[in-house]
Amino acid sequence: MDGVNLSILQIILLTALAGISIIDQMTFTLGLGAVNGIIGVSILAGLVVGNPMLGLLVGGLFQSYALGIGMFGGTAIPNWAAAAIMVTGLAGSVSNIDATAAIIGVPVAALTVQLDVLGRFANVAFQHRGDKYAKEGNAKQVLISNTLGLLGWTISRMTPVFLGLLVGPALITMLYESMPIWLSTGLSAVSKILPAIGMSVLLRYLPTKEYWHYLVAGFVLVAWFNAPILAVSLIGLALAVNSFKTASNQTKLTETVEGGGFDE
Amino acid sequence: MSKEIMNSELSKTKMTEKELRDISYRWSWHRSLAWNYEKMMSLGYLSTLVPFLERNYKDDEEGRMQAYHTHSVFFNSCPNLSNLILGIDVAIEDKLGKEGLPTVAAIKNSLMGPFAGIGDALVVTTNTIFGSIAVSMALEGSYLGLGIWIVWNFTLMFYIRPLLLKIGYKQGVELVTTLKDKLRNLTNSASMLGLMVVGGMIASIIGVRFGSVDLFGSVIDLQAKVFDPIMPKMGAAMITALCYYLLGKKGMTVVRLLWIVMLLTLILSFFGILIKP
Repeated sequence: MDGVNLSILQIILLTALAGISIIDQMTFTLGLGAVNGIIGVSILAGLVVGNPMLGLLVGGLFQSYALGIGMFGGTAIPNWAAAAIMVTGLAGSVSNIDATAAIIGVPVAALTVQLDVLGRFANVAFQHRGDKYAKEGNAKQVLISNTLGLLGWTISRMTPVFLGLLVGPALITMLYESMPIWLSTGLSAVSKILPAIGMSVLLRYLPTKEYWHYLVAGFVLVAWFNAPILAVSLIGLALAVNSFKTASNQTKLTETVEGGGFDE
Repeated sequence: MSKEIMNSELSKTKMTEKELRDISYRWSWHRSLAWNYEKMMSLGYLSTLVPFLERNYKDDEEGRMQAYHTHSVFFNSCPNLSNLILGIDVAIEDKLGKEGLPTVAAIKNSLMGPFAGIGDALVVTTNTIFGSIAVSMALEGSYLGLGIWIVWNFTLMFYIRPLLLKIGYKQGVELVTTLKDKLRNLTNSASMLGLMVVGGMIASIIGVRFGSVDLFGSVIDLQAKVFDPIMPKMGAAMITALCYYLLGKKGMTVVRLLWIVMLLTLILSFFGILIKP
């Protein structure tokens, strides 16, 4: 695998995308977010390197790792968006996606998770600044303190992408050439197994023990009948709407009975 | 005081439609900018309300200071359902001024927990459903799934969140009791749909391929001779079950699980039990 040549402008744009991605995740979440907008941000990264299709495929891969995982209550999760931007920048072509993702994307995402924790700690300082001005009723400084929080978010996400893109091309070529075959095979296997983590996090979160039969139905539709996910979702929607209607009617019924009136 | 708030007079609104929408948009932007481990969304909540507070307590400096103090405490909830809390809050302060602040504090405190629970469950479920469609289409080279997801994101931002804030403003605390059952039913139904999609995704995006093992001289193809006859996608089901089990262990985090899965897969690959899918 040959290393790619990125211009300094491309590196800056890709680094900026890492910042935009975490800002969107923490604010409007319109589709570029670091957890729920990995496909979108990767397509933009693909445009920067002149290959949006490459971005789409990389984004699909890394979004599959992040599915089911949320950032609730400040849980630190692997930096998948930063990894996706880096892999889009460094893969060079579609045929290199799996290898680049395995060699550099996954390790970087896992190793930089502590930067997120650091960023959230840095924001404590801005909180204290804001508290001080809130006590004085200083509207302008309260807003400035809150906005300063952007620094912690963006710096913690942009730094790994910037450094990764600087040393990445040489590093990837070196790793790729010196890596034993069992290791590169193993990393490819890893890259296809990782979505299992997000899925199991979600299974822990949802009432799986109560509704396990829906899980089985979805699995069967795809494993045996190769149904597309959209089809599975629509069948699921029909079942969900049915259950919602039944439950709502039951609630109404109980209310009527409890109210002692039958005038409905 | 709560009787007074329940009073239907609240529906005589002082705030315009646009002012209410602006609060919702402000919340979407400010909510987590300074998110931190100490007070989480506290500064975001206060920053959202700054223009409202400045206007509402224009002629009441003491009330203004009290309001800043009230909104400087810990806050953390679901980014979407928080709009209901904001709506209720603004309605009370709008009507009662600083007299309403103790009630506002109590309402924020008592609603943020339950709303975080229900709201986060809904958010992660809907994102998984839309995300699964987007991922499966993206991996086949199609932008369509992502397009559907983005339409949903815009609907949340420009329709649902402002609507929730308006509902909170118009109906006040009363709403919480009537809404509770509806939200619970909605969460349950969404969970069913979510589980079905997760089942499908386990079978479609997780790739596991077993190799061959040499057992006392006879080579056994694990994939073709052992697992395929049982059921298709056996490996994907097994690895998900293992992760699910490990996540139930005390002290297990997503990042730890990631390292365990990587290490285990590498070891199994080294012995040829797992091969390139």
